[in-house]
Amino acid sequence: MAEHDLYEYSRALVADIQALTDADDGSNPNTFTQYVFEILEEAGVSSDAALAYYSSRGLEIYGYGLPGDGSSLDLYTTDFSLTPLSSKLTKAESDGLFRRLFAFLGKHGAIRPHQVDNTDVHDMCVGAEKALPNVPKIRLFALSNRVSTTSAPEPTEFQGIPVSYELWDLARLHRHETSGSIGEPIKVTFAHPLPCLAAHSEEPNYSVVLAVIPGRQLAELYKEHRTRLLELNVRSFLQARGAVNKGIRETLLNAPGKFLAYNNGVTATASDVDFETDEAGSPVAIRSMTGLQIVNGGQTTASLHHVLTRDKKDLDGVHVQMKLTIVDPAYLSEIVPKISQYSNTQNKVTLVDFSSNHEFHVAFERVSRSLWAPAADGSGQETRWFYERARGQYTDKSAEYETRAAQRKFKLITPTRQRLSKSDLATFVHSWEQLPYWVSRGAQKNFAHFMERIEKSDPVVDVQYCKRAIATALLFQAADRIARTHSAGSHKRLITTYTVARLSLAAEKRIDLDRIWNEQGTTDALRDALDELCPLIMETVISADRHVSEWAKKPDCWDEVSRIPWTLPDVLAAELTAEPFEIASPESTESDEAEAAVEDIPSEEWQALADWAREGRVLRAVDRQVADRVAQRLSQGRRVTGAQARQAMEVYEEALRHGFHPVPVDLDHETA
Amino acid sequence: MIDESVWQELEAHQQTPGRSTRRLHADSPHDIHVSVTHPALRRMLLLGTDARTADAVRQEIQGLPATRGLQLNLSSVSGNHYELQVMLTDDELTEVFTPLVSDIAEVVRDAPTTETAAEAAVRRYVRWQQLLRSVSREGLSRQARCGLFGELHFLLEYVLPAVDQRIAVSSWTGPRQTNQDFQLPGAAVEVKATTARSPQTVQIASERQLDTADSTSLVLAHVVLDDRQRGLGMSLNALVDEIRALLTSPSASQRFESLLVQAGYLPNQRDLYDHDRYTLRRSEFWTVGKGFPRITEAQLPPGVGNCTYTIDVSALAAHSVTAETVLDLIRGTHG
Repeated sequence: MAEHDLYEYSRALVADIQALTDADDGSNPNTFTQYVFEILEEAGVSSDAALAYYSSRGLEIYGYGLPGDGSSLDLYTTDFSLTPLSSKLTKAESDGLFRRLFAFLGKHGAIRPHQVDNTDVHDMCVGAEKALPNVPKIRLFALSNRVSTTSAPEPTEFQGIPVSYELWDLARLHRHETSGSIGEPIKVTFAHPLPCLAAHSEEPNYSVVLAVIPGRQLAELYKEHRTRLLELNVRSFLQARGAVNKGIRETLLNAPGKFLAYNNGVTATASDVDFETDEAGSPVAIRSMTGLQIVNGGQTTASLHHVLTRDKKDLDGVHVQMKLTIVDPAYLSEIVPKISQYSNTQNKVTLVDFSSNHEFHVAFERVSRSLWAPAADGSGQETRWFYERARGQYTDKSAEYETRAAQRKFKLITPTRQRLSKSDLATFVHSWEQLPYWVSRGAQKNFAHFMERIEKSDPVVDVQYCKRAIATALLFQAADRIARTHSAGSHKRLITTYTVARLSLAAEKRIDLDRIWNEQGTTDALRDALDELCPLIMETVISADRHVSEWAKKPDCWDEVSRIPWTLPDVLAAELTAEPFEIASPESTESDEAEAAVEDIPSEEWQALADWAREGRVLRAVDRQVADRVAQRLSQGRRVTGAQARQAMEVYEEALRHGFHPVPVDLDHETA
Repeated sequence: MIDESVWQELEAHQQTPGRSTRRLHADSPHDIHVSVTHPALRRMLLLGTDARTADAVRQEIQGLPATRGLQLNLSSVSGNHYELQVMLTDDELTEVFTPLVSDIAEVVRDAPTTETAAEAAVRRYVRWQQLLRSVSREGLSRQARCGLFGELHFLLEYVLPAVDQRIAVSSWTGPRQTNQDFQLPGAAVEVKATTARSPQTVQIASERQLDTADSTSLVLAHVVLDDRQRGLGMSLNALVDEIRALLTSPSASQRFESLLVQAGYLPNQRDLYDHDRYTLRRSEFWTVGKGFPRITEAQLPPGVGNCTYTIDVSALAAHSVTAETVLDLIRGTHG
């Protein structure tokens, strides 16, 4: 790695962190920690990490994570330096970081009693307490923006639970951010070389071998690397990420010997394989593989792991067939998705391209870079919003300017507060689209869902789309600032998304997004409404007897929030537009069909549906409200359009499934 | 000021697990609270602070040595809100904790910014740590006992008879490590106590000790003591009790107790001070003024500091004053 690159990266990183900290009035080490959390989540190394700082003598912790699948308890500590290149992180220092972090494991029970309920640290202690009796392992992460001179300590244990150490220093972060491939390549060495059968290949860029791998070995690989083993797997982004398949599990428990016969095996790729060869030079056994990826068979792997760790079966006699393709790393991104895709065509898997090269992102980037945002602060300086299709684009772009003056100008035209990433966009739009529980599930999951919806609705990304999408960003940011004044603290993001969603619901999406874009800000009335709404949301979302971040992920939480008795203040009501705002121009035929279908159902029937749902307590409150609203609009002779119509039809179908019988109100009228 | 009753009230306050808190110095811009946890009844001083400040004091807190019975924690509440927690973890220091908390809270109260407030709190905490370490097991050193006896003796014999008891107690600044031991409106007094048989010199601790920069009169008092084990003299405890008996104002007696602790005279070590008995041999007084042999800050070359030096008593004859004059100076009725 070029020393120069690392220097540049380090400088840019510090500048980035400082800018983010200033914008938030926060703390550098915290901002840095959050920044690395996002990297780690993207890398599939960890998930559900949250900041919580506590230090006393001999103890320091910056945050914790309890992955949803209960696979580990993660603790994080940070070493952030403003002059990271002037010194290195020595062994003594990194050992000290880990030692102080480890101390939390023994002391969390003593820390908790002197914290107020629901503070960051309190939640962290409660989380650790609940997790410790059940987790199979503990992971301690030390994050540093300096270069470390040593590697992480050897695994130890705490009360019989294995503890592993992960050191993410500057070099590792840099490798990760520049290589595009995530984390360290997974390397597997076989104690006894694994016999294999090589297929003859004419292709220059790859070759294929077949092997039978012991089930236990595969399960242990998964135990060690988790979803990183499935990075290139199309499905790993979908809900099935590491899901356990019931049928596979039954076979493993009841007929382990027949597993090889029943199961399709796994398809894997590796960038480099060390073979034992026969006299003729053809491969006969595998000594080791580098850059292993399971591109198909994620469920098989996860189920094996589950049976080994949860059902405590030793997987004796279980063998799995493996097709291993050795691909030159340069062709990885081209070949692997295809392998994955073609092996999956027999199943109905919606293929969503999550890469930054998806046409949606390309279009959004192109259009948004051509837009000039009106000067809002009276300076007459028009600005641009910067869509980061890929991580680091903003920093790269600003680094292109040689002189300080040119850089300043770039920053003036493209201020850091106006940069937004793919996952930010998904957050803003989903908050507006009233999907706060998706936003609460974390950047990665929310983004995946966003892309699935994009695939379905296939919006036309034009100037109007970009302006309105960015308006939702402005709205979110305004709500975010208000949530901060209400001390929403570590739950700020959740509170913000729920606040925006609830406002969008109350205003029936008739908040003038175009006006927000034109003024590059929100009106007083809008801010006052958010200010009024925010504490109400906090009461519902943050409650003492529930784990807040878990609760916020549930649709029930949105259900409860949508029922908060709150009406728009008159001042804001006066600002609303007549028709709801759709971010995308209504292009899709799906909407047209839905609109027609909605109007085929008389308003009385919608009303009857709503009443029926209320009496029988079926459907979600949100759905009942949709029916109410549609009934109202139709009775006033107004139209129900776009997303609202689609939503209404979903509600209608749902009601039919729950046994709603439309009563013909008018014999001449043909019900749909 | 806080006293035991504040803690007791907080302790009785609730039955459910959690914290009961009470704000101190409501007039201060800083969030200062005393708090008791339930059901463990841990006593704490809390100072609310922000993320930037947390960055500033983080390192320092990590580097502090351990003190048995006390803990200083930094904990994030939510987002950018933090709190500094000074916590009592051992009942042995219960009586010390109250003056410690009042002292830290008082210093924090008038700090101009959140950052200086937190830094001041940490600094004060460190001072208390040093104090507690220095008197850890054997109590105060012989020299410190003698010094404390001298100051208390002066308080009892010269300050309390001259001014209102509240002013008298407040004027005793020795325990707070100021340049002189007493700072009264009309005069400052530096008390030097010694148990040497015929002392020829007085020890001066720094170039600031005899510096009369701010034109108030400065008196140097020399208290010559005789100390014996179990003699007829007075023990430190007896002297303390005598002053206690005189203090009728609750606020004065509370302040006095707090100052005693700051001087290292800890309630739980009382029995260490029963054996040493002191008898007064004589007291001498000098006023520090023109021509007094001393070193002042202004005279020192730049870069020189922290001078300790001795003055030969024989050179001070010209500056000698009577006890009456000293009383007048204390009353502010002199000249």
